[in-house]
Amino acid sequence: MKSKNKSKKIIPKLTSAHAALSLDVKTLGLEAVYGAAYLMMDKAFVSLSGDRAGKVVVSLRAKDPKAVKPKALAEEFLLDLESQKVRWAVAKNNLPIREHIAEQAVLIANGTIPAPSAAAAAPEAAAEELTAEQRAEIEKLISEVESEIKSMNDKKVAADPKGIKASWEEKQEQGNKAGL
Amino acid sequence: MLGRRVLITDEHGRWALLTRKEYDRFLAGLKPSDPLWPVLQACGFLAGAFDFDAAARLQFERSLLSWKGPGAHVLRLDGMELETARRVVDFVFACPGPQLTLELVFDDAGAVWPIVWFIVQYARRRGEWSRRPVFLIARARAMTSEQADFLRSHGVTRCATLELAGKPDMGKGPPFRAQRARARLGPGAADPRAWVRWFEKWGVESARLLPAGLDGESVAAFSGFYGEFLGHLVQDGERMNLRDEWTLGLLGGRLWNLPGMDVLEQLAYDAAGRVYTSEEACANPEFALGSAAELRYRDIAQRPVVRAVIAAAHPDNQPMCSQCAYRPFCAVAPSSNHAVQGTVWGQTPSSPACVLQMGILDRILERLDDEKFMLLLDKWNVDMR
Repeated sequence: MKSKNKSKKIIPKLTSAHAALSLDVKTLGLEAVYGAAYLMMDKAFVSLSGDRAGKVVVSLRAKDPKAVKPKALAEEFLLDLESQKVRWAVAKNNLPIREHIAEQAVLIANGTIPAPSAAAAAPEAAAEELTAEQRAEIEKLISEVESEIKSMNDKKVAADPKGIKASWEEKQEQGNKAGL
Repeated sequence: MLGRRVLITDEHGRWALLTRKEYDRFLAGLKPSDPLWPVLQACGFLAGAFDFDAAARLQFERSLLSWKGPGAHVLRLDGMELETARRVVDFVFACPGPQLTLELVFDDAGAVWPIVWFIVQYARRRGEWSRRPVFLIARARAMTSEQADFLRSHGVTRCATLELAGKPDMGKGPPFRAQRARARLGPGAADPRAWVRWFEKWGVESARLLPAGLDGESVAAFSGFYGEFLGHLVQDGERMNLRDEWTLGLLGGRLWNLPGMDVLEQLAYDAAGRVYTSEEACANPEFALGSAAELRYRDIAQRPVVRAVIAAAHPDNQPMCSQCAYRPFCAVAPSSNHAVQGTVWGQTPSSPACVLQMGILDRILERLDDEKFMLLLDKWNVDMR
C-alpha cells in the first residue's frame, strides 16, 4: 500500500514516445534514482538531467517502441525506484557492520588475528632459481624435442619425395635454386 | 524467486530457500520461538544473533584477501615454437599460488605434438622442483590413441572440444578418449537426456556446455537445454560419474574459481608467447600484458588493463550485482563483457553474458531444495550445506 501511495505522488509526463519523471533527490536518494535508471537499460534509453542535489528529471524512451509504451516504462521505473530505495536504505544501515567485518578480515590477512586454516594463510610459493643440474635436464629435454621436430619435418619431406604436393611457387623456387 | 521459493543469500555464500510465507515472516522479524529462527540463525541471517567472527572468517576466505594468484594458465599451442613454449612455462612457474593448472589448447595434436610432449615433461619436472602440485589438461579437437595414452600415462587430463549437433549418435564416440568435454551447442542440438547418456557411455567424467553464441536466441536455447541436461544428471547422478563443470565452478563461491575470470582465475598465452588476461581476451590486443619472455609476474599488477579487469570483475563494483541474490556465485568476466558490449564493465541489464550466467544459476540454484541434488553436490565435493 505504501509503495502505491508513493508511486501516485510522482506523476510521469507522457508523450507518444517518452515518459519523463521529475524526482526529488533529497527524499528519494540519488543512488536509488541511479539504480532504477540503470535497471531500465535493457528496455529503454534513459537520460537524466537537472540538479543532482535537488530535482532530477528522468526521461525514458523505449528501445522497441512497438513492444513497450511510455506509460508502462514509467510504471516499471517507479516500481524499481521503490525497490531501490529499500535496498539502499538497508545497505546504508548495514554499512558499519560491513566495515567492521571487512576490518576483521584484513586483520586475519595481516596475521593480527589467527587465520581460520593453515592452508588459507599458507605463504605463497615463490619462484625459485633452477640449479645447474636442473638446467642441464631441461637442455636435454629440449634437444630431444628438437630432434623429434626435425624428424617430423624430415618425414613431411619424405612423404612427398617428388614434390607433388608442392605449390607452384615452391616448384618455381626449387627450379630457380636448381638453375643456380 | 526460484520457482515457488525465495532464495536468500549473504555475500559469503550462505543461503536459505524459503517459502513465500517463511520469507514474509523473515521480513517481518522472526521471534526466537519460530521454527525458522535456528535455521536462519545458523546461516547468519538474523541481526540479533549474528556471529561476527564467523562472518570475518568467511570474508577472509572468500574475498580477494585469500587470493594467491591465477591458478589456471591456458596455453594456445597451435603455431607455438619450442623456445616460446619454454618461456611460457617458465613464466607460469614464476606465478605464485599453491598449485598450478596448465591447460594446453590445440586443434590437432599431430600438428603440435613435440610441443605438447615437451610442455608435459617440462611442467612435470618444474612442478617437482617447485614442490607445487601441477595439473595438466590437454584440450583438443583431435589426437591419436597413442597420443591420448601418452597423456594419460603422464597424468594429463584429456578434454575434447566438441560441437553438439542434433541428437547424439550413440555408436560414435568423441574423437578421442576424453575425461572432460567442452561442448558447444551446435545447430539443432536436441535431446539433453540422450547427450547425458552419450557422455556417460563414452567415459566423459565432466562436461561444460556452451551456447552457440551470445545472441538472445542462442542463450535462450542454451538455457533450456542446460536445464534439462542438469535435470537428467541429477536424476541419474547417484550411479553416474558425469559432473557438470558449471555447477563445480560457480558454486565454489570464489571469484577466482569462476571459469574464465580474467587474471583472478586464469591467464592465457598465445602462440607468440604473449600473455593475456584470459583465454577469451586473446582475441583482443587491448588485453595483452606483454611477452612471457620479458614480463615479470610482479609487473602484472601495474598494468592498467589488469587493474581495470579486476575492478570490473568484482560484484561489489557492479551496480546491480552488488544487490543480486546470485552475487556469491556469479560474476561475468570483464573480457566477456568487452567482447559483447565493448566495455569491461558491461551493462548488466542488457548484457547477454549476464543473462546466460543468471540462466545457468537459475537452473542450478532452483535445485537447492532437492535432496538428490544436494547428495550429488556432496559426491562432487561441492560444499553447499
